[in-house]
Amino acid sequence: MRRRLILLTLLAGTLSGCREDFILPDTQADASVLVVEGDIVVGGGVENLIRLTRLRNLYQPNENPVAGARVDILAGNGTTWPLTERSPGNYASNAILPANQHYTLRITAGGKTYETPSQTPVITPTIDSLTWSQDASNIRIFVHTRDATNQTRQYRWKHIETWESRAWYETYFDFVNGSIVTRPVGDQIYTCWKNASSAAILIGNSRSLDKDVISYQPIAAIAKPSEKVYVRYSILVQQMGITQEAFDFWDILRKNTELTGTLFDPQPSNLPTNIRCTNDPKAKVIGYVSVGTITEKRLFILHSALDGWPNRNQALSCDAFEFSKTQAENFLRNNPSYLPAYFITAGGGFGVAPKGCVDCRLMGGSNLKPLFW
Amino acid sequence: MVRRTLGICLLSGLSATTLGQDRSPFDSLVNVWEKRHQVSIRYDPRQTRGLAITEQAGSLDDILKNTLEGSGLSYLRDRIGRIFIFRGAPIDPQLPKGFFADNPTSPASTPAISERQENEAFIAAHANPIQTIGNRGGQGTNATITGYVRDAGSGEPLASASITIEGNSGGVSTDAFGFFTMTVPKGRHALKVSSVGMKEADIQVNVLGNGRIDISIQEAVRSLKAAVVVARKGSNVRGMQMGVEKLSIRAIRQIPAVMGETDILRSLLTLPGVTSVGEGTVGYNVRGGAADQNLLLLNDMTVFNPTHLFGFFSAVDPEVVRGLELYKSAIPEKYGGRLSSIMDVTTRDGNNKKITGTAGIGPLTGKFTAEGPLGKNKKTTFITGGRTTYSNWFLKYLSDASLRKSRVNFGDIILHLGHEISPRDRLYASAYISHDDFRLNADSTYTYQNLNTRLKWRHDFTDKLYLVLSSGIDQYHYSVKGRNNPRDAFDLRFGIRQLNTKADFRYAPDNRHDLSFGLQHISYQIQPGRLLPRNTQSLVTPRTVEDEQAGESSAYVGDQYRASNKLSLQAGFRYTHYRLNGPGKYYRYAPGQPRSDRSVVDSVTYPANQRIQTYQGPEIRISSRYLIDTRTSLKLSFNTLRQYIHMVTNTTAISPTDIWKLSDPYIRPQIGRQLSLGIYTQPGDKELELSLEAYYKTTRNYLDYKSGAKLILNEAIERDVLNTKGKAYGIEALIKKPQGKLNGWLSYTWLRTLLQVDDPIAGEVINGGNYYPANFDKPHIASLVANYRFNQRVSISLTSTYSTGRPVTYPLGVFTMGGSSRVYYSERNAFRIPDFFRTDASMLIENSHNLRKKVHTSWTFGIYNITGRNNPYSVYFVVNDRQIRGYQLSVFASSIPFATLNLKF
Repeated sequence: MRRRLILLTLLAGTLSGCREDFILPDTQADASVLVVEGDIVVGGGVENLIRLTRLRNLYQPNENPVAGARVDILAGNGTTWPLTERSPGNYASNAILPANQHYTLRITAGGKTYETPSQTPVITPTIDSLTWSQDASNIRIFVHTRDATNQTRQYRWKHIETWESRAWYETYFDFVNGSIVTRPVGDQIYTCWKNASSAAILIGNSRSLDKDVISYQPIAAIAKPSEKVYVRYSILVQQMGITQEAFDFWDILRKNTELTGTLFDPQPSNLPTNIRCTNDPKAKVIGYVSVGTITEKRLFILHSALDGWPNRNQALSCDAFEFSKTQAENFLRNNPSYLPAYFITAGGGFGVAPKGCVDCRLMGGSNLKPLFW
Repeated sequence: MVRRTLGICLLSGLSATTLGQDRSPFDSLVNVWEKRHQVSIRYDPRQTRGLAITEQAGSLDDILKNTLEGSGLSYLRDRIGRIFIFRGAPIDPQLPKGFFADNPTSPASTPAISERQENEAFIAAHANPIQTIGNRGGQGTNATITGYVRDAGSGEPLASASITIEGNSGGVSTDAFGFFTMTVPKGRHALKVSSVGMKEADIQVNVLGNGRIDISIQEAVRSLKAAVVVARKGSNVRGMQMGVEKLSIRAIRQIPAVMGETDILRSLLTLPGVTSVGEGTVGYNVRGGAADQNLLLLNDMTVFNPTHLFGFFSAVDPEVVRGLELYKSAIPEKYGGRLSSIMDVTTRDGNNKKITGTAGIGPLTGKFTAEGPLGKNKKTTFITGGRTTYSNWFLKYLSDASLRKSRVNFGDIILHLGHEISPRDRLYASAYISHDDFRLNADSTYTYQNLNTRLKWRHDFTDKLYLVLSSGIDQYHYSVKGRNNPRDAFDLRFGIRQLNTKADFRYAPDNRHDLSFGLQHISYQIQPGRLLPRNTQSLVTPRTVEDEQAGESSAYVGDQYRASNKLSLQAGFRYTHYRLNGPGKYYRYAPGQPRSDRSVVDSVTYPANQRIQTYQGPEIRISSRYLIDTRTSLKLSFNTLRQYIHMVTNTTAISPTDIWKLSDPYIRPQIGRQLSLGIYTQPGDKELELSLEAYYKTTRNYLDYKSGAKLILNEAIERDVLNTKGKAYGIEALIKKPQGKLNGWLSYTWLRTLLQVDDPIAGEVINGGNYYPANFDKPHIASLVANYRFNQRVSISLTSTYSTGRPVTYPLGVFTMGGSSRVYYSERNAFRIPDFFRTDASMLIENSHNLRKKVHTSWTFGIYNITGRNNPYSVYFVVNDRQIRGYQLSVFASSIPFATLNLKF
């Protein structure tokens, strides 16, 4: 409903279609503000990952990770589950936490100790289904779920998209040490798989409904003519039930930066948080740590199920030059940005094409097939 | 004194005019006659210059008759044989009987008329006939004259016209009905009657006793020569009211407006002290007050949402408006209920001579008005006007696809009837409906409606006391419907209705006192929100926030006292009593704890009509005016005000889904105090008016909101509000040139308005508990309105506005969360968006000035936002490709030319 209202107000706001870039005067961010991202996941399925960074200046693109901090998950019964630093700022543990305990998170960084209150894990219901539909310009993916006990009410989702991406030419050849050779079996660079994680805050609630039912909640959209569905696409949706307070945190965070900027924006609000600094009450912290289980579901979409979707990037120019073997090898020696693409059966020559048209790895992605594919 | 006789007036004019001039044949003849017949002959040599001398035979009477025949001159003799020669109707040279009655010493207390004034009176007497008021034989030396001042062309009564007696610095103004009552010494007077936009009229009266005189004055139709001097100078200097801005419809028409549509609210924004949060917003802010602290009255009907299309157009068609008065500082005691301002818009009563009308066609809207007398005896007049839009064609050209499928509709219509039952009884009825309808993207609609009616009866008990009794219903409701997904289809509604009854008395026992007193009662009923499933598939749970109902009663008494010719005082006292009634359910919270759903301890359900909460209190309105000299005055005022109804909004502008809320056990009435001081002067002969006003206001119990406050469908809003107190102060300067080929005004305002959380159980602090700028705090505001009339048909107008950007909360730093970069914000309103500057120009071309033509047409061309500056309304930040991008959103980003055709028939 909120979206509807925001759209309504767009009418007045963009009557002359005028939205322009705005550059802020640069100000120094307060680097002592700690940013904590992550949740305590119980019952397995996904490992526990907490990321710690510091607030940075507006136009500074790189994060300021907090290295060398001590991060522990404390269970109600006294057990401590320490997290180890995998890379600067990323602290993780693949231990499976029992779901029948209360948990708090404790962080010690920069001489200060931060803690969350003790929370009972939210038992997340399973995802009913993932559906998708295609309209003139998008494919939209929806999640449906329900809680028969009407307890959960608030949900947060993340997703990981994986899609198959192919190079223009399927080559069985490679250019090694000045000569064209056959590729070993299995060493293919034609099909790759790319991944992307969700970048938006996806939350929903069923508080205005009688039953705890989430229906047609938009999870992702693919805009035509994205390459994600040139061949086959898959999305893994992870769902976590959250408390009202956690929902408010993500809702305010989303409103503060994901608004469309209409004439009727509410004021950016102070973010609630459940992380407190125990030895310096004035220290500012950003983040909200929830405790609960995670349920997942995966959806595949085949290109053949789509209506009028291209199956390759028509804008790529992948013209190949055809040569005899010797000429091809000569050419490839002098033009290292080309690779052999195909064998010309009539005459025994080769077609050579730019690397990007032959090696799918150059467009991002890996040529290793995921386990679930 | 003897000099005050009619005859003497003539004598002084006639005496000795032959000295030093060329002698005409008639002059020589008179010389001869005076010597021969031993008679004294008085005449104006200018009138007799061209007379030809004929027969010299016969008696003096014969000769005079023959000589004067055909010349338009006549003569008469008085009792002692003097001969007067004059033009026009004969004058009675007799003194009125009983003129020397009662006490011969009383003339000493009346101001003497100097010889110069007698000369002027003489000239006036020859231009206008003398009117006699009342009958002789009454007691006392003073008499009360009453009557109406009207526009001679249409019969419309003229409000705030001023009537003064020549030579006397006192005077009165007509009230909203055009009615005046004035106590004057008996005898001859020259009355000067003036009103904005009308020719100043001089009326000679001979007051014999109490009586009635109805005065009609001409509109200042521009002659072919230079502009005629109109409106009396001194209205701002002499006027009792301070902090009142008056705009006549002429002034409003000259301000170019969006798409060529004349607009009342937009013209209001050019006055000092009045700002708005941005273009396209509904409300306006007066002297640093919130948008809900202004009351807009249309013929005494309260209009809750006075705009169309998110504030682009006012909801009142200017064609039917007579004028508007905005009270900013010294609010008279008969008004109340809002803290910052009262805007009183009155429509005309309707031409009582013939039926006329106008029609206008602009790029986005079309409108019409019609007015005239009804019935044979012409005792009833009507005026009606309506407007509608056909702007859907405009939407098709927008770049945003979702907007192209949208539909916009709005319209309004007003009807006002006046009927004279008897000379002492008049009845008025008004009705107003406005409707707005937007369909966005073919699946969401937003509609709202104003519906107002009012019935008014004015009864004159005596010449000094009258009563206006009025009653009416004011209603506003909106509905938002969404239907994108059938499971979520909803219908959200809000409504407010008030029944408002008033009895206002006005008593003017003499020229020194002008008393007003009365009672008022408002019954409120609000439906704060109802959410219904829009169709049978929808899973939306119906939810209703329970209705609120309350009654607000007030009584007031006030007097405007003229202590001396220089000093006037106005003192008023108003007492209001507010009662919130059941049915209703209210929660009780743990003491000392911030109110939230976690600190509820109990709830109380009240049955219908049971008292839930009472608030009451006095209000004081004092103002004074001291005339330093005839050109300069000093005014001081102090007011306290109470407001029992609040608009609940946590956006910077009034949004379509804002709701009104009544005071309840947790939300206290807002209380305001204002002290202002002003100087008004009219220097030199340039006909400039200068004014400078300074003020200081404090407010208590102003509502601000906690972070993430949920205001729609919230049955316990007390959990999301913070009690704040505010202070506002500023200086307003205005230079105005009302007349001449070049006219207009320049205003500059410096103001600050600050808030501070004043809530011990807030649970949250803003700006660490210090004062922070309110959303509409704009330190510098300057406005220029200039019109230049080239000739009878063509005039141009220029409007220019500059203001400091409004405060905004800026991002201070960035962090990553949820896969994207996010923004960390500063303290509330710690920064400002870029300044606002806009200039508009328009040209008005009238096709013909022939007064007798059946249909008058005129064209208006113009450009809105000439400089094309895209004044940012909103500055916000979004994540784009994992990067923070800042955007500014403006409502008008380029110049917009427009053309409008107006017809008047």
